[in-house]
Amino acid sequence: MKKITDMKSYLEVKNELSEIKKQNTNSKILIGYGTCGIAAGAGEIYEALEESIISGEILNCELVKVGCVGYCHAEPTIELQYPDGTSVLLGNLHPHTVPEVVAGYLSNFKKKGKHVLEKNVTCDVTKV
Amino acid sequence: MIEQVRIVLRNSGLINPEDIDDYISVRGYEALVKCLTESSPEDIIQTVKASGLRGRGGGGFPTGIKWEVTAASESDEKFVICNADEGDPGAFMDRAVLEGDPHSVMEAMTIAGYCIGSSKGIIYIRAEYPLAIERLNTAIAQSYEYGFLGENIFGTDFSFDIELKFGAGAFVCGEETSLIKSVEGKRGEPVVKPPYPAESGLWGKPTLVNNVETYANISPIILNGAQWFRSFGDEKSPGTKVFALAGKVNKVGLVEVPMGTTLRQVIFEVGGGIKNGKEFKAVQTGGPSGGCITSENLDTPITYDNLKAIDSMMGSGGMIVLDEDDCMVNVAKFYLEFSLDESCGKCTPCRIGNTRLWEMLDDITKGRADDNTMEKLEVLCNTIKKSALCGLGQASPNPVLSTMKYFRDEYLEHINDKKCRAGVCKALIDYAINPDKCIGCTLCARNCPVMCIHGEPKKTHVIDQDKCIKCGSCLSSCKFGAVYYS
Repeated sequence: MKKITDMKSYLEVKNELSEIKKQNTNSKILIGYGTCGIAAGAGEIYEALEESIISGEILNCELVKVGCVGYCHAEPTIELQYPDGTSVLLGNLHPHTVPEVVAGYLSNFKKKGKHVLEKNVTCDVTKV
Repeated sequence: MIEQVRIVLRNSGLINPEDIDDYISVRGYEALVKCLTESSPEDIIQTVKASGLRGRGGGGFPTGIKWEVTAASESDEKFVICNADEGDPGAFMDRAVLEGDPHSVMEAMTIAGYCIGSSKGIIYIRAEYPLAIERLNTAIAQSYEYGFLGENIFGTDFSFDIELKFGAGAFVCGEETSLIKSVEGKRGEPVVKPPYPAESGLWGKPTLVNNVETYANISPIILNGAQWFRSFGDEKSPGTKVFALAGKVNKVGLVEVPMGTTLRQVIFEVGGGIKNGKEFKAVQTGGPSGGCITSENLDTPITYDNLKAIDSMMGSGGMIVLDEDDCMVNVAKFYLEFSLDESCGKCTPCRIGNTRLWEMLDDITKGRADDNTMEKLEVLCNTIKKSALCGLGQASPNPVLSTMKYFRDEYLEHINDKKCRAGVCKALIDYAINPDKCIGCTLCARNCPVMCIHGEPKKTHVIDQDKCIKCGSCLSSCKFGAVYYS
């Protein structure tokens, strides 16, 4: 790994990482994997999604374990990030139905349903 | 509709906490690079001071001043401590930050180390947070690889290391002097301030102790400036605050709102109102050191000073919402029990005073209190407040005092009429069966664990009050609403 020594080398690393991010055309599935999420069943959700990615039921997707978004009342939650930057936050999921739900939202962002908590929650105040 | 503003929780749930590259790609560690290569410690302290950031652990002490004082203390060695000993019942925001965005806390600690002239950071975290510990360890290892921690960071003469210290989960160790004792390997007992840790803390050296949430605010302040931070919140309490909403509210969870948002907005707009359409009764803030806020104060903007003015406190940000089914005497008893349990026993007012307080509350809930109890309660509460050694003891009567102030009628009802309107205090209620509604289905009799309900099938049943243990299973089993309590 490259050591960072000053602002220049920092920005090089950062830009390189953003470039990799930009070229990545996969959708991301962010699983709320804090202690709270795990207690509510995020582990089973992760396994179920991993299986459906391996079996090809869900395509062009990456699974990422993230921290808690704070929607404890709707755990387990996942956030789908589309390649164009939009996103949808889904909650009250069940391991049996989650692959189907995710596949549905991946093909149609505008889809409405009982699992949708919020859209485009990604608010990055540090980018102001 | 009030919008959440996420400064502290900016990355939680959006980046992979176990991958430093994810953090760097959202401007992570840029503030550290900026500080070390472009700014002097004095400039950074001035920025933090100008931002008006106040300690998010509950005390609300201005962070910049704390940094300045610690920086000014002369010593060959100094320490930076992160207080991650989150112990309030119902609070979990620090855990969420450490599990979701550990690097943000470490980055700020390193900046703090640079500012005060320290080369050693310690995160005091409770052992009950194994996942947060695991992620912090991963994050620390990754930071060393990039050179954000270690010897001569970015080629400067500044070196910084972070190590974890595990607490055994004692509530009092969240108090900074007992936290320091605990890090030293001694019993977690508080000591008298002054001297403050800024002058004489860990091993007698100047020590900076800040809360997780305070640190999480630092990088955005440095990147965007003090004025940007001041654009959120209130003049005297700038920025945002994370609250852990719990209790009888529809959307239990973490919320981050600008300071100055009203309680009503937090509970009814962000929190989605009270569960099952029940009536709002009170909200408890500040944990065992705070107090209850009633509906008349719901429109108070949340700031450190406003909450203090209505006999509660910010605390670390736990908010427990109570509805009509909660008995306020019982709530006070619950919090006191917690303080009693967590008292270290060093000073008499806290050890014995709180025990006597608890006994009096217990008397009230069991119908044994007399006319003098209220007065005695009040005197003892104030004595403990004035004479206890540390914050835990001084604040432990707060839940009692505030419920006594705002729900005096409920206390008096318990004492004089031996009644508990919420039906929580079992000793004060009697279950009975309404003969007009009872159809004699025998369900209650079959469910009664002590078999004290008598009656033939299809005829009115009767509860034998002498044998009844008031478990309430008849009330919950009756399908005809015939069982009631008085």
